[in-house]
Amino acid sequence: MRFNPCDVCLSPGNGKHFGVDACRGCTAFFRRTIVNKRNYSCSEDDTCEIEKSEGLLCKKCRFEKCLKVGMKKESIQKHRDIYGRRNPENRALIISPSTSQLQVTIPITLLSSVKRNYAELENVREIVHRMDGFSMFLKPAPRGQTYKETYRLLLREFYLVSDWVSNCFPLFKELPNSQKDILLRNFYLTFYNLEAGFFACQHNKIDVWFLPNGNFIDCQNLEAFYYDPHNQQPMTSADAARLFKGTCTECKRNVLEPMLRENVTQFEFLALAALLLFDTGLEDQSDDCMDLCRNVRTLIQREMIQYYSNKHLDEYPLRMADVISLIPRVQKAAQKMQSDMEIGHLFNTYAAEKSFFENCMGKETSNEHNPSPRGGKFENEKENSVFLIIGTIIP
Amino acid sequence: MTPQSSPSSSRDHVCLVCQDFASGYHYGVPSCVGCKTFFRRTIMKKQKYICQFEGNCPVDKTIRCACRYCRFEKCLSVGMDRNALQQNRDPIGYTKRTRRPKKELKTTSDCSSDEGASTPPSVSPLQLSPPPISPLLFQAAPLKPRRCILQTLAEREKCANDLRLSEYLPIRSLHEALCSKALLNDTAFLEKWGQPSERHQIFDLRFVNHDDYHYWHERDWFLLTEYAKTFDVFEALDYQDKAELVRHAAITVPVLVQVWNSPDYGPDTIVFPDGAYFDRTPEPTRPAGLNRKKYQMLDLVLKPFRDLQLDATEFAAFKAVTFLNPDADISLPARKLVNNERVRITKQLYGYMAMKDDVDTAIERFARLVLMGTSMSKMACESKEAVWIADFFENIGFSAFARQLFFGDTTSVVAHKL
Repeated sequence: MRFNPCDVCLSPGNGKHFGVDACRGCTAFFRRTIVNKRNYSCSEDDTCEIEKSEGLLCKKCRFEKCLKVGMKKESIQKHRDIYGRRNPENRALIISPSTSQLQVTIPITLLSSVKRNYAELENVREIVHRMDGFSMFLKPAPRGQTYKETYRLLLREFYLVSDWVSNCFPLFKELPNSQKDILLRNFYLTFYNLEAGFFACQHNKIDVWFLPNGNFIDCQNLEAFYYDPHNQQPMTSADAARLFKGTCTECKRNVLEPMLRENVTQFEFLALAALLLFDTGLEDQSDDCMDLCRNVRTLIQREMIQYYSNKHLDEYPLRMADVISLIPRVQKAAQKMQSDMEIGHLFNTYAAEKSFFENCMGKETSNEHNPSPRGGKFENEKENSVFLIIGTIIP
Repeated sequence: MTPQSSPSSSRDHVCLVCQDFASGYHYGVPSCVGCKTFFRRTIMKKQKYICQFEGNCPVDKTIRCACRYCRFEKCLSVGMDRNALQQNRDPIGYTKRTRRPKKELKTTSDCSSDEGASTPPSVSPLQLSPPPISPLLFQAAPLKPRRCILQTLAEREKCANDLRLSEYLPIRSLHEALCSKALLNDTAFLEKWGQPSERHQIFDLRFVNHDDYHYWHERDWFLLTEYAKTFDVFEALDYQDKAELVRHAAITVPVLVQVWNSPDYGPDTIVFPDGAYFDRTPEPTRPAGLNRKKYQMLDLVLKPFRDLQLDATEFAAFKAVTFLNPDADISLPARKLVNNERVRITKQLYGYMAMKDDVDTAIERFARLVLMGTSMSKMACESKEAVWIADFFENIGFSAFARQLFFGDTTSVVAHKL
């Protein structure tokens, strides 16, 4: 078999390599330069004539000639072109790119629906959270919020998130109302923390806690958050900031920092939200509910695999492992937040309103004369919707 | 090999070291075959030379072999770059290509050819002193390649199970447990104690009682400390981080061990090695939190394990990843060490699964295993609260070792109770 001469040095060729006719020497030289990330310098004025040199090839000019005649860097196979000692540990990771693609593709229907509904949720948020005398066409600058404003926001958000969840997941709708409440209570504060992490990725900031209405909690200045101008609370702002700063510390350490480090995408954020909603092993969770959650989690997991496969990421199962491993950390931060809220409620200091505990957390208030029912949102208000919320807020 | 004849180019064709004809650019400067090989051999073998005179001997093509110290210094001064050596392309020793030139070069008496052979250099008539004595060389044997860590973990798991089924259970403090030698690495100890105890055989199944729970949890906590010490990254931590890492794993790792080693007597049954079993039957006398942990074991661990059909190697890797949890309350440097080791094992585990199955199945099984790990993390947090409550109301009589494991050093509490 006869090969064309090498396009780089005109030596006898060895067939096509990286897209051009090349000899074995120039082929190995080019691959070695790319894989080992070498940089060369020319002792002349970068005008060496490669084809006229015998044994005195200038490395820089040779490499430039390789690029000029059309050798492609992308053609080098990263996993097969390894230089140096062949470590047996690395052998297990040498997987050809062709085998990293899934053989069977599935449509990403569930998480696409979640994504569309999340866009709807954001639109509704602009309406619901901008009812305090602000223009609907002017976007106000973000500002730090106080605890009263935040608790009011949390209560409104609860209804929005409930509707969002019901619209995203038809399977969620089919559950009995009591099971829905169990899942939603387990989900809400966790989602609040998870979304704070997603906002941190969007704004590239971790020293403030961004909220769904665009404002933030200034974690560096918690006394402004616990602002009490009329001295209604039993302790000072400074004491409250000291007592409850664990919530911000945990959220920053377990949610904002790792999510920003991983640079979680919107799709990944929504997949994590779905996995957090359909949790298993909850107290009072029925067997049917647990089976349904297990099946939905498996489906979400498959759609995540398909998403990464479509993006052609290298070693995407490890990326998926990193993202899924964020789940216990978000749950830990939410647990700390709930614990602090219960402490505030117990000692009646900077506490949320009773309706928040009754609806969002399913806690019974200690009002013996007027015992409130323990039921949650779905049991008490079966016909709730966004339009009813807007109707009750407008007047 | 490049020809020794002078190439027709405008470049310098003289070796900058010895003024002989250059065969090309080597290590950044025009040099002859002898000098470039001398330079490479000096670097690769890490040789040190000593000059018998003042260190400024003349070096040219007639007497370049006389003083190797000055020759090497001149190689460096004219600009030879030691970083230009390619470790994997410049071996020292005989290869297929250098075997034949060695035989041919023996027949010649040219001074430059002596450098190509391993015979000692001859003294030039111009030099009246003996040649310098080169230090004795010990070329290091090539490092034995590191064994795949998954294989190590699988073998370790087998030793741990042998020790679990034996009757060895020392009485000691947590500090003694974590600072003593690792028993799982002691082959003499394992030969002596690695025999299964007669008690640990299943003759009949019987429903579990309080003493069974106590017995097997004590054994599994003892084994957890021995398992921890087999990790180099664990040995590198200070005591506080060690205790915290083990404390964090005190719920999850025993759960994994109990579920994995339980023979299959049905989808909702976990059997200890002595035949004691529990299933979904309510146990009213037991604290509610620990009962909840029982159901979580059945729902979140046993069922996925059976569905995934893990093999011994996959289980060993998953157990290691569960143990090396950087979310424990350890210091920041310790967290980085633990996380790096965890990532390394996770990569190995995925590679192993990818080789074992087709890609679709491997990725799905890997993802389900990762997701199961998150459920175990949450179960551990809830069970820790249950343990605190159980101890507060004195529902369970913890041993001194278990109390130190879960609550830290409480010598004063023990003294107070006494």
